Amino acid sequence: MKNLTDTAQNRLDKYLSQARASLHTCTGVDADEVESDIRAHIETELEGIDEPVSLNNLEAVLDRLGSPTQWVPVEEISWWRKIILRLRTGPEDWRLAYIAFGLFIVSFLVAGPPTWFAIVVSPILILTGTAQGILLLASFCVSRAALVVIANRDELGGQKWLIYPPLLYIYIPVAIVMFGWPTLLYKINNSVTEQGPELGEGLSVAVMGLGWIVLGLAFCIWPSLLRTIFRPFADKFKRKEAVMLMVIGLVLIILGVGGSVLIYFEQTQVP
Amino acid sequence: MSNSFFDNWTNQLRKGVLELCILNDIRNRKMYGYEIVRRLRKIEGLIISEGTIYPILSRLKRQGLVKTYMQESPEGPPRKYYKLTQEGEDMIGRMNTYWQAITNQTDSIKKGEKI
Repeated sequence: MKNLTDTAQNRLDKYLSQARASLHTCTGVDADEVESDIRAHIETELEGIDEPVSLNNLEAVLDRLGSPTQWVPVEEISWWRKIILRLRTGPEDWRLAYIAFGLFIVSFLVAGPPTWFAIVVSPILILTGTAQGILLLASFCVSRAALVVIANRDELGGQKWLIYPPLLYIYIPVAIVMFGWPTLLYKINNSVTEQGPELGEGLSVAVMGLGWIVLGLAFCIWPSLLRTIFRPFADKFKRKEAVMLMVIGLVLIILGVGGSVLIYFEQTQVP
Repeated sequence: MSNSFFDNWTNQLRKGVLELCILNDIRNRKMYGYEIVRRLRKIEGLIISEGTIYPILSRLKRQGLVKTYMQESPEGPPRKYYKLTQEGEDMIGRMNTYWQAITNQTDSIKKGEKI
């Protein structure tokens, strides 16, 4: 090899090291052979140039050779290398998806096995500011950011396996609280009314029905509200589903109130 | 949008054409790596980065389509020459026939002729 200036030699060493790193992940080629070909190519290109070869002269040759990361066809890159490349260079939707899933996994590792299945407490973990909660929130936010980047939902391919878990981990408890808060409150505060637990259960169902009517009304006026909260799972939500929610709410009220009245008369009946 | 479509399309097309050109170049006469690069770089738009050629040559060798041998050079160190194997000869024959059929029929479609 020709004599190079110190800066040119450093640049060449760095370039060849990049080439080695890139080629060694490629299963279909002999990395050592390609490296030796590249060296021979550079040497031939530098023929006729005065020694020591300057950085500018070397850069012109390396520019024509191109970045070693471009040499390897995507289908020949190993899976772990693809992850690193996607994290480093994008595309953005994949980069965000990997980050979201990474944060999600780390949140589990931080928490430890006892809390792995405690899906309903994720909002509490977030609200109390535990390390797992902060990581879950970060993972959720990055997943939502990935959804914004993927403007066309039909293009949501393999990324969904990475961004759905963090989203569902938050959406499921939020949905439980949003649609079932009266029953939840009743279960938590089981002291209920003086009339006994049966009457309380009936009333909690009626209150839940009332809640569904209010929600249905809100979603009927602003259908985008539910779509925004539970994106992308509620993307196809329309007003007719909101009306359906109100109808079910009404049925729950009738059942809850009717049941409670019957229980009330049964319990207050003089023997 | 239209630029990204064009870039994507040319990328897909380039890969196959590049392999076809390399094998045809070696078929006609023995060549060393740098010589192949120097010839192919004259085809505008075919090579984006010259380094791409070497992994392709290595892959073709692993697949048994080309073989290499060293030969002394009057201008410097020995050079590694590439030559088609019998399997490579058969393959380039099939590839050329396929390419010819595709280009002929594509031309017919472009001209609005019946296929």
